[in-house]
Amino acid sequence: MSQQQVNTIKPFVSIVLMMCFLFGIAFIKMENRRMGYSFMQLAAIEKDLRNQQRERSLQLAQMTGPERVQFVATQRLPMKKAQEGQIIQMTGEGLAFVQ
Amino acid sequence: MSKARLILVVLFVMCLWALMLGRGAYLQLNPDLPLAEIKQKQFNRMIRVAPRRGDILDREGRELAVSITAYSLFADPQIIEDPYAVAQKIARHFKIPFRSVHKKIANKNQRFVWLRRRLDRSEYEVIKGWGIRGLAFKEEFKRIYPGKTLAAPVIGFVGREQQGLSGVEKKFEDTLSGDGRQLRVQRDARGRVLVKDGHVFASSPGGSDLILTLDKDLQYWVESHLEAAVHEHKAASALAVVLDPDTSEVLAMANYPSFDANQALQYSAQARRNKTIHDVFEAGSVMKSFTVSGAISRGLIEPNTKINTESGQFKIGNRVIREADKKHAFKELSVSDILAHSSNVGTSKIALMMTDKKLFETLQDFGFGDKTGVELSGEARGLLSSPPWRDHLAANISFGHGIAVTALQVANAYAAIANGGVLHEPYLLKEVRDIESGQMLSTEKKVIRRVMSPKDANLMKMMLSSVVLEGRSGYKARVDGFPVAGKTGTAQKVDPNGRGYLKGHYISSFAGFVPANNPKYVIYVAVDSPMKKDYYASTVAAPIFRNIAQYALRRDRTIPVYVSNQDLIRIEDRENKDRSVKENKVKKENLQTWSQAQPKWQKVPDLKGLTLREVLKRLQGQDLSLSWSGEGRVQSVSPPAGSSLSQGKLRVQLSSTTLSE
Repeated sequence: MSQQQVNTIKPFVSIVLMMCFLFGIAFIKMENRRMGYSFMQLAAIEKDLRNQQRERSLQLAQMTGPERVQFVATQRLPMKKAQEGQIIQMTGEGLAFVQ
Repeated sequence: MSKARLILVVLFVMCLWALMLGRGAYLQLNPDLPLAEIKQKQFNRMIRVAPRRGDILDREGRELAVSITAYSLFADPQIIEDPYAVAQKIARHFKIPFRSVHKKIANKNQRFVWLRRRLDRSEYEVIKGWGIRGLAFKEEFKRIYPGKTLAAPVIGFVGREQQGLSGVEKKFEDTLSGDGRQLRVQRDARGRVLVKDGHVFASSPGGSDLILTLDKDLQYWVESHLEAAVHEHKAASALAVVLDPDTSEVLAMANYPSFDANQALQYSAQARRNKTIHDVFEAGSVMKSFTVSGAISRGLIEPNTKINTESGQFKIGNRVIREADKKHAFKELSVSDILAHSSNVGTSKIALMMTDKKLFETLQDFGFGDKTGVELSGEARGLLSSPPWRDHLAANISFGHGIAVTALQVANAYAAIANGGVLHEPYLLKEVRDIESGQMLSTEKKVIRRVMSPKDANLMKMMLSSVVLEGRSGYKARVDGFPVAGKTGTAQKVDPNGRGYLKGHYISSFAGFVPANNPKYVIYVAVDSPMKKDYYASTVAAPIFRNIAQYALRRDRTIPVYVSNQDLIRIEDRENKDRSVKENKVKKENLQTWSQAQPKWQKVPDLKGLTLREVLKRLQGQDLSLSWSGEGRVQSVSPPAGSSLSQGKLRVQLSSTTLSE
């Protein structure tokens, strides 16, 4: 390509570069916004999962509550309350104590 | 295209760009205020993020009260296209009157009406699935008490707007509720929140979590025994407090009847009272310990000092002090026996030796007539009048009448004796945990004053230990393996509607600590108006004390102090291991022989109605293969009862029961 031809297309190249630059900025801004939306969506999912975790913790607390454990043991399973002398206390000191 | 034309086009485009840039720069550098305001309003918005209320946990971090996200349903009547159909659907789903819903959503002048507050996730998902335009949800928080009635009077409850209304919920309202946040956010044209400066607000701000000193298991144990006692003795109510004597940490605080904190507003204010701190009553003989300790501290008496107890009747002015039980009428008793036999006459004489002023000082020192300082609202001071007292009043006060106290005051005063003479401020709050920073703020024990010397406290422990010996009033409070110190109290109940006492109404109580040599638990139990058979503390309150003490000691594996061969199961040491293995072998052989000796079944027996355990017991020694399904009791057997057992297989179907809660 001759020097003259190069000089002829230089303005076009300048404009194209400028346009690319501006479009690039616009694209980055759009991408930023798009990522922001994705980020917000993920944040909402995270919040929801945290809520679900709290609900599960609550369910666990309800399921393992002493009242329910006793109910299940005596009503659903054929278990009875321990009578005096049936409980053996292991003290960890080489002693097992009948209570 | 000539070069000149090309230059012109370029210049034109550049001019346009220059103009645009110039306008942009002008607006940025010389902003038009009204325009900027419109822009601000359009994109920026202040939102308030409601804080999540902090959790309340027991000393081991188990949930007592938690807040979870709930979904409140609202409608925009202007957007709802078919109010009739929507109202019908909502009314059917929630089983509420159609008219009330329709009235709300048919009013096109309104843009916001609440339809249902604080729904759970499953309902939220169902309604969201309908996809009805004009129905939407707002996230709120809902307070749940997983233990329902567990420690309800202590924890308290919250109101409709999640504000604490009683108990710990009210007292620590500021700590639990936290601060809501005002946030300036940018929204796009569709109202969606934009990320600003890289900040995303994902989680709700929250109040701090409270970790209480309560032990959930012990609390349940105490409550269930109070409930059992109320039913067994046909009593009006019962209450109990368990403290750590070294710190006065409240380990359990309960009264029965109680209420379900999840539906607190459905109960009367009376039912929601924390009777251990709100109600005052004459405690009776449990107060004798303080009269005696005051006299011992002042050097007026010693445990073996003999006091003339006038054969059970002692006249002061024109009034006669009598023993509560004729069996306790003695001519002379030592101070130790005065406590052991709960002698009113003996205690009155000690009080008269002390003078009213000194008795008053002693009771004040032990914290009576003043709030204990526990972190709960509405604590009662009790009633302790200032001297001068007439002699008969001093005598009455010395054995717990003419003075009104709370259960917590009594327990805390006993804690002072148990720990060697130091009165602490009882407390419920162990730690505060900031959920955002994770910082923990621990509560330290607070010493109020020394009320007696360690030596005198030891004397008191020794004397109170004799109360639970055989033939004494507190015999039923003894715990196998552990020395127990305590005092029974059977007090007449004051008539709340007039002067004097209610006939046939008593408050039976027991206050004590265990193990007496190295106290770990101070327990106070009181039963109000036991009506069945007996009302004496020795038979009503002492066994409850014993059950609570036994459980508490067993739970923390406290090593027994008194050990007899009868109480022990021998654990073989290494040297005897071989011998024990041999013995076990012999036992096993014997067992096999015994099993083999069982008559073999020829036919299937009738096992209907038995539990699985009972079936297994009956199958012992039979050469049978057993399989089963279901839960509960035997419903059917295959092969059926009476048929031949030639196959050696037995299948049992248990009746399945469902949990109904």
